[in-house]
Amino acid sequence: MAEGKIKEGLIERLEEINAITNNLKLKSKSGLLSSQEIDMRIECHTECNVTEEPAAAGTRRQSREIERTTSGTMTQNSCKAKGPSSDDSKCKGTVVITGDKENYNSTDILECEPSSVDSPTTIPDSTSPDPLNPTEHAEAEDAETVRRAREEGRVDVVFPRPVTQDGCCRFVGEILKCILYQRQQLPMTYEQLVFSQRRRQAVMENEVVGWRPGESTAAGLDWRRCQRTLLDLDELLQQLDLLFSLSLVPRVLLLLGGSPQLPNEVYEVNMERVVLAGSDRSLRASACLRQLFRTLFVADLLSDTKPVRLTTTTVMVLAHRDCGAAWFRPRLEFKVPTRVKSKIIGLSCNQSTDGGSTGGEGQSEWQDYVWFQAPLAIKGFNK
Amino acid sequence: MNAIVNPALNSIGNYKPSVTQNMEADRMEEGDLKQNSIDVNTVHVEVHIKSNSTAKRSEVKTHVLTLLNRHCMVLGVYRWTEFDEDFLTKHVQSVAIVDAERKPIDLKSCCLSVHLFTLNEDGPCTLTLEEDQELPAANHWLLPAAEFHGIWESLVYDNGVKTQLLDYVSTTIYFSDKNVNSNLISWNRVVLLHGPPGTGKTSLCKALAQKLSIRLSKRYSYGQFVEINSHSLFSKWFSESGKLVTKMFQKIQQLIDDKEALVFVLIDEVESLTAARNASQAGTEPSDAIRVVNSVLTQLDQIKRHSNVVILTTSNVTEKIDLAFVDRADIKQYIGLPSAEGIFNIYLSCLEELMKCQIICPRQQLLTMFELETMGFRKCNVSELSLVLRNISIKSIGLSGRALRKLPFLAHALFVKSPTVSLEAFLGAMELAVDKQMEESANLLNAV
Repeated sequence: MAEGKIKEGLIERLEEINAITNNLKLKSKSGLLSSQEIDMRIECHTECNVTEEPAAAGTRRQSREIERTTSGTMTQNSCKAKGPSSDDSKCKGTVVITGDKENYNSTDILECEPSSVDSPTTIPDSTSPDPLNPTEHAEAEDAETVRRAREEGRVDVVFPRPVTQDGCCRFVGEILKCILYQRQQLPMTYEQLVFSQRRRQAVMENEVVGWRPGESTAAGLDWRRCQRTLLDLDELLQQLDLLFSLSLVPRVLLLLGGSPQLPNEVYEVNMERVVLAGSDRSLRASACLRQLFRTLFVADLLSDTKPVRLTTTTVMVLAHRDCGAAWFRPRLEFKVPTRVKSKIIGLSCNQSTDGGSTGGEGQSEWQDYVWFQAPLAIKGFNK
Repeated sequence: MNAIVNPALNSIGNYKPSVTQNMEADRMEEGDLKQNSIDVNTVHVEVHIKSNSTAKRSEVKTHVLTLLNRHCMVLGVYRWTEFDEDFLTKHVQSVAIVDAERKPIDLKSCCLSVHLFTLNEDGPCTLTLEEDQELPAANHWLLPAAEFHGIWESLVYDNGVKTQLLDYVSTTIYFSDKNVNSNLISWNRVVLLHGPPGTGKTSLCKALAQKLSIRLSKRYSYGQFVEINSHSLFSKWFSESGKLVTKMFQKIQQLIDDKEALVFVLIDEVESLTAARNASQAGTEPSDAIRVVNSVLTQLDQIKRHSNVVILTTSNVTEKIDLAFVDRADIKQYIGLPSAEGIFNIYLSCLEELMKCQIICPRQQLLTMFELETMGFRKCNVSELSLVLRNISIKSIGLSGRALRKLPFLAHALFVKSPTVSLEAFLGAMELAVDKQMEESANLLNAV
């Protein structure tokens, strides 16, 4: 339960960051939320509107929370035995990350971590802004990111060091969850849904009263659909996890609507230039996630003004021909749809800093890689 | 009936084992093969690859060819489902020699045309127009679809209707490939199937699309089958219906734009979209309906410029269809009620299936019509049951294909009281069921 709450917090807080960059959007979206989180959100929102200073303070506070929750979940993930992490372990997580950063020379940070430099949203408490990185530089980079996202539909995230295969899987999972929410296929974020689902289950158990017609509409959510979607999504994420352990995955496509040949929207996560390494020599997934989502929200790639209707989301994964994935269905004839403008999230690692860790396989041609389609598509729902 | 092999069909991606082993070369050979096909028979081999197989297609093809080399004498249509080679067992569902005559074929002397395909197990996707979200304007399938598998074999028609249709579409594509000037020689890519209900027109359309997407898999990487819900194209707003039709065709246009795809558009019960315009002069049709007809006609003219589209239409009441539309159809194929021979074949396949599922037990061999004919319909203990079946077939003339296919079911439900039954008893039950069916239709007519 506690873990659920923390997880639930993560994306939701990330959303808050987005709210700052995209103030208007929040207004419409908060209308969709039904749980108690609304109050908090609106409060934060009004804060933003009144004056500049408290808003900044508010975000700083929230960013700290993100910091904590991210690292909190990470420590939990890496060592399950710890259980609900105490404040100490959370802080420890943060310290480790920042410690990582300090091992690098400043140019690396300048190049790869504009996020941690300029904006107050992602600065952990222990790092003070580096004097060598002028904020103008970071701003210019942000502007460039926004321009590229708008004109080319592409966002590039360069991690300063190699990452783990596990990490890549988490990136894809989080991006999927984020896209589902941002493109209005889920009424609230995945974590919130899980949370409210659990809370409801607890209530149901206490009440003993069976299901009554009309109840679902009263609560504002179709619980069975919600449960269905969550189950599907969980299964998909699990299988992705498995697939990532079987094969390198250079590309993942998220296809919204239409058919696989002619989708309405295409999102690609390109990891061809990611350098992989063991967990001892690579970045923590939490740090990468922070950088990734910071860049995504700055670029505003996902929140199109174009409204979307409820549809299905299909996941296509490029993996090795002989990886032996049983759940995914091979689609040898599949070609990446070209007539739909796809939005690309390019993940890569800074090669120069990578001291000897091979990404050998990453460099080779991808000719023995074929597309696999997830046999279940995520059906969107809004109520 | 398949003796005359269409050169167009042969020329698309043929393979001749003795000529070359190079897989990629087969499309280059088109020119040669056209001459070859006059004296060499083409045998189509369909290789159904398991949907979870990731093997390289070229590798599968080599293995299949070695298999065919080992078994080079086959008797007409044949299907391998079990293989002694591990590779084939692992990756291939079945290898089938299809659409051949019932006579011994020496594969060595034939031109082999190997078609590899996997079935798409996804259900249909829906195509919605912007306005009406609830009702999908069309369903579309990715071909070859698991849903359509086996329909082609299950349809039995006389006079080679199936082959003709196959040849027609192949010629269409052949002409487009050769850049024949469509102003001089015009073809509209429209097929109209008409006839009484229950004769399998819609099924035939689906089967044809499936078959072609397999046959032409070298030319087009996949097929799309779009089934238009014609009633969804009528708007509640006056004057909007015509626009909906245009919108629908715009969506189809998007599918056609992908030159890798072969697009089949099925307009079922086409009379609802192209009702005769002169009927509206009587004032029974609103003028909006006329706009729909106009819109459909102009859109069809637009679409026919593209080489990778085929429009399949079906209708029960041809006289109600607008003449301008009928005129646009290249093939107006009448699909009639099956003849006694057709009925015999349908029953035969039904009984085979029941024996396979061990509902009819023990298994007994039934002779085909061809075999009966060569025996001169002489009565002996081998042919006895087959002759009974022939009599039932003659008795059931006048029933539609749909009625025939459900007859064994009715026979079992009404007249067989045990879970398993002998063939002889079952034939008796079928005869009773036919009588009952006839009686019912007579009663219906009397009531009217």
